[in-house]
Amino acid sequence: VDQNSDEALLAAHLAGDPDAFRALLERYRQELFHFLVRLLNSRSAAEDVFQDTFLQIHTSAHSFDPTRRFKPWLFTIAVNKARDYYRKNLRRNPVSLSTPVSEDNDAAAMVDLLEADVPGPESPLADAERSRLVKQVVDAMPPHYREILLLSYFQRLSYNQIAELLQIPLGTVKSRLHAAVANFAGAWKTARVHDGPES
Amino acid sequence: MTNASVPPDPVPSDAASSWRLSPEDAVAIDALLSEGLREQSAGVTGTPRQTAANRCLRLLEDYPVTDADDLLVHATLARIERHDRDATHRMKIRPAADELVGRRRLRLSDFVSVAAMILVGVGATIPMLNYVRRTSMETACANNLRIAGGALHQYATDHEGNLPMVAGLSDPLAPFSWKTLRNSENLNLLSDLGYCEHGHLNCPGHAEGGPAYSFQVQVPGRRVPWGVGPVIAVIGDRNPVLDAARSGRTVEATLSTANHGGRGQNILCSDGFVQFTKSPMLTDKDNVWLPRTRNGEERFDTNADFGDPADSCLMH
Repeated sequence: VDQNSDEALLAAHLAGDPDAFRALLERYRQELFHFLVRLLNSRSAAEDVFQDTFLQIHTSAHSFDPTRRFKPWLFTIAVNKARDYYRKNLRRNPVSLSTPVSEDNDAAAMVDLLEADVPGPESPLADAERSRLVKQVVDAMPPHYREILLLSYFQRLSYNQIAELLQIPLGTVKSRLHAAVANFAGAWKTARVHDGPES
Repeated sequence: MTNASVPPDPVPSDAASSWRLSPEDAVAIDALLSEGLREQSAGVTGTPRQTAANRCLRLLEDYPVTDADDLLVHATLARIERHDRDATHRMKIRPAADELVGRRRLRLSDFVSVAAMILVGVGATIPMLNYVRRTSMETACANNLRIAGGALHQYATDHEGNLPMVAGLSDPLAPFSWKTLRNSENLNLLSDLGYCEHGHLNCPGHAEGGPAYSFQVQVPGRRVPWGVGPVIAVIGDRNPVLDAARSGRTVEATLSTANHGGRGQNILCSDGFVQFTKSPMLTDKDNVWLPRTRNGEERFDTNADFGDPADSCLMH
């Protein structure tokens, strides 16, 4: 069964194959879980949303269009479930006061990636310290930036696929991804300055 | 995408950023994305700006993530199984709910019970309504007789104390006959002469044709005075014994009038009082339906002493 495509596995599940759905789960266990952990900044939240996502897949399997690909559908549902999680936990996780906020894009600081102070492979920055800083920066990003950055980088989705998945115009996808990259690079640079490049 | 319903994007405006990408970097990012960001960032190819973007984005790989354990798959499958079990349980409950709704529908036994209750209610109500109806008719009848009494009094005042009698109505020399007797015409003088309304001489309980009231027999030459002498019945409900005699039937002389269903009769006496009596016996020896013979007996006899001012004999 594992040799089958995602779409074939889902069809087999609908046909009553008891192993097909487990195979789908196993196939996306790490990929979806990692995506959700990065998106939600919580292992337990990622586990909950993971279960919600596959429960939705199970209950909506009959509505899946077999002419389309399974993976974008899976991540569309996952993103929606993650947004539900944001809404439910919005009051419990207020935006940090230290998070830089600006309502005017014209007033935003220009980021030049050539000057983003990104350490190369030869950088003396310890792996653990770099991981800590990356996590700090990513977790501080607005959820919609985190969402589009993770979809484009880790899920290797194109602009069109992201636009279809998030149900937003193509131009919005581009501008949002640009803003997300700028946010990440700018926050990284700021974090490096505050943390000290020698650390 | 048609495979999933995506709610409107709830995120805020993209203007809420503290940093803005330079136009050159935006071009570089677009170029990278066209090939796949992760693939490009894995190598160190492209322009220096693309290389810088690659290096920046590759930092995302350093986000600390541990793998999901096997329990996540088991937990997910268990949750789905629990969901399916609950859904099946709900499906089982639904027919029971339908059955419950069905129980609320009227069954034949419910219908019979309701019908029985209605019948009992109606059965208890109808006698009460009949009683009220009877009582009201008896009262209306008594009121008629009181008005007729007033009319008689006025008539007697105007006619030397005598009761109304149509002149030449009966031949005093002719033999008395029950069938030819037209005594009610004497009473009708009251309405004919305007002493009362015609309706006042009609009992509301009288359903048959003909006179509703019987009047003290008026015999030429033996006129009964009003308000003087012994108290006798002057006007009363229709005499049932006379009706039976005219139709050739034999009935009890103590039969009550049909005007009030045989329960009794209203009688106006010569003293002006009206009373409802269950028996036609005004006194022990005076049956208001019967004439008195010359030997003092009360019975139907064409040779009776009609016109006795001391004997009640109501006929129509």
